[in-house]
Amino acid sequence: MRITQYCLNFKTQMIILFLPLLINNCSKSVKTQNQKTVTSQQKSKDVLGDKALGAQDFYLQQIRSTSASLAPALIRPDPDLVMKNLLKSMTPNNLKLSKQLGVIEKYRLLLGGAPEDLSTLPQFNYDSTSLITIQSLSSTVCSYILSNSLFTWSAKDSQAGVSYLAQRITGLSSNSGEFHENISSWQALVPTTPNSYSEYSNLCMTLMMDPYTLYL
Amino acid sequence: MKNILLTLFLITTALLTQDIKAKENIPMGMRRGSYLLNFTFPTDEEYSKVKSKDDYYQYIRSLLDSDKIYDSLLRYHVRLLGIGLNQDVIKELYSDSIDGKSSKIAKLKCSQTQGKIQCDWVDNTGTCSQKQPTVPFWYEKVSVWVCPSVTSICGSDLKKCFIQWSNPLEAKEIEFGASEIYDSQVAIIRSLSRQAAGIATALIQENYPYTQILHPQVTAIDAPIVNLIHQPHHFDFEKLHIPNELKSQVEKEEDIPLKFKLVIMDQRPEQGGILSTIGGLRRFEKNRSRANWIYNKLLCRKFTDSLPVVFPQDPGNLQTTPGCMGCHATLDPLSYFFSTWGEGANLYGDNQSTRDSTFIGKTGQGLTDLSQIIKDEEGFATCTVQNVWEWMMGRGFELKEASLRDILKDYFISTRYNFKELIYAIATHPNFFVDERSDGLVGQPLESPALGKVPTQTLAPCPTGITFSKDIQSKITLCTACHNSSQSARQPLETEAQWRDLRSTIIPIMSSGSMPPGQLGPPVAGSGSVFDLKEAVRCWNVP
Repeated sequence: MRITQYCLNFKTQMIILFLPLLINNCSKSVKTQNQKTVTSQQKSKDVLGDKALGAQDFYLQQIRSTSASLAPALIRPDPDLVMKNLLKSMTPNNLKLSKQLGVIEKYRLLLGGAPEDLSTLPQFNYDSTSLITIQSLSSTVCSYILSNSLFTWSAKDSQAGVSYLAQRITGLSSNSGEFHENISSWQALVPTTPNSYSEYSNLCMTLMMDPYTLYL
Repeated sequence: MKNILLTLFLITTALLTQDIKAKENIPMGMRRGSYLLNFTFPTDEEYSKVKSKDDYYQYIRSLLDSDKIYDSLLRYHVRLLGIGLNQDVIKELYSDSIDGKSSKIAKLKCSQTQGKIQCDWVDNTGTCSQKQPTVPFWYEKVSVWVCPSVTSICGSDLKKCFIQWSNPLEAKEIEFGASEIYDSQVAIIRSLSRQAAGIATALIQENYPYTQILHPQVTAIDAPIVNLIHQPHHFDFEKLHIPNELKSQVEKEEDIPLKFKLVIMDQRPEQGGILSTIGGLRRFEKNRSRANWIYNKLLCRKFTDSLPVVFPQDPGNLQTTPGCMGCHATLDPLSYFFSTWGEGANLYGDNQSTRDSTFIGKTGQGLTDLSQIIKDEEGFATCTVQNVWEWMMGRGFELKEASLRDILKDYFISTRYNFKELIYAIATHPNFFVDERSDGLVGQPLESPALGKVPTQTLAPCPTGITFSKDIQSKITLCTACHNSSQSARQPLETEAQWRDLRSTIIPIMSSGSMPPGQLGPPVAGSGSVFDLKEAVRCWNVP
């Protein structure tokens, strides 16, 4: 009994003795981490000097009142990234997605993407090769999206489904005129009462070939 | 008849000279801006929140403040700087100094088998009966199953080893930290090849002036480069010219940098920020190609579109030979700044001797000097404006847009080369959110300006219509706490008349930072209400 008590006392004494050291050590580790960040930032500041300045409203007003003479050009979404981003934005990030990205990778150059060494830039326009590639690739990408996305709408609700897919794939606002002009033709691509997400495949593929998606 | 002809003439002239009068279309601007800056499309919820131009400006600001801007900035710079490397380049970097072989034991092959990620030695040595799980450095959400001999050599996170993924195609487009899949060869080559883009991106993200991409002491590292530096058994650091302070910083690094982060190195004359990354230098076989790259990408100038059909057999000194000197009188001296670096595969040899040279009338030796010359050149600011404009608008500047380019350049310099502000200025320009699109063909392109002009920070041009009641009155509380009629010792500054009488005295006092009290120096743009008040008073067109 005495020995146990002694042990307890000894343990308690030890804890009391080393507690400040422990606390000190823990806080030191936090401090060291913070200090390291501060030191590294300070070193950057010492060498690189002042940071850039913020917005200057007067200047911005002047810029906005200086006119341009030609509308912006149509831009083709980056062929190296467009399919990849579509998959990433609509499906969960997991090993399955990684493997799917590996599958579409071999189509990248056919889409008009940059070569591995970026010695030539990605294509700015579509040629027949890239359009045919999109046509065939959209089938692969759509079947992956439709079987892997976690949709918040039921497959049976075709109105919600068409609206969601059209908005996410074309990027148009579902309140816009262009959207309303096209919605009936998009709806015609889906059965009136679809039973599964796979029945949205025709719509998905058509949307990927839509001029709104191909150009910005 | 005369009147009809005159009217027709006026209409034709107006049609020919008019600027575009396309209708404003904010959703179109949002869609384009969102894709360019964040690689996403706006959602319906985002569209519904943007009801006015001010909302639109805030939306663009939110895109610039988003984490997603990193990928966009990196991709912009990869496309601009065009730096890529062939996969075989990594073999040049192997070290055979330990055992005379470049194929070292610390290589793992990883794959997904039986639902698990497993990594084994490439040569199948060191097999064991029971593998244990460990969290790899490239993806903390997964366990990788390895033999004890692996963790004892590679470390518990496998950082010290070279990883081969069973299917390199799968690994090719995977961003670090986004998947279980990792392949050292693919990842290291990709990181080395875009290190210059990484430097620029990290500097912009830290809000340093864009000119610092040319700072000789700056570089950037990311996880695959950390993985490289942790493998002295595989890679020859002498070849790579990896400075000791970079190695020691990586050794100290506890967190794996998922994105490029800045590292400050000691100053060396052969370093020039983005000009001296190994990936960038190795891409070019010759110093002349490197010089041409700078001239084109950083100063938007071309030596020639077409080479001569017949080259003279012995042209002698290209810098003085007619037909050659037009380009070589500038190209060759520019290339001499790279002399400390070897050409082609000799890049990994010892540093060569330096050579005095001249560019835009300024002399120097190595890349440190060259980077300073470019930083001090207004053409660098103009070229950056042109590049960002082309990226956002999809076309170059037209001849008629010279004043727009000038004012954007002045703004860029005046914000101390704030790259994000430059994007903001372009994305919020009315031309960015019009409902029209052109074919991108610029009939009369605006030429790049001549070199040799030092950039100067000009006073911001004043907008018209600044009035006391609209722009000044709400801001004067900064002064009226002391300058009011109850304080007999100080001049009251409460009414328009009092401000009008003292305006010429107030502006220099506020500009110097002397008033209001408590300023740390002259107020600078973006610093807050004192600067805004000073500018409003300066631009107030006193009736």
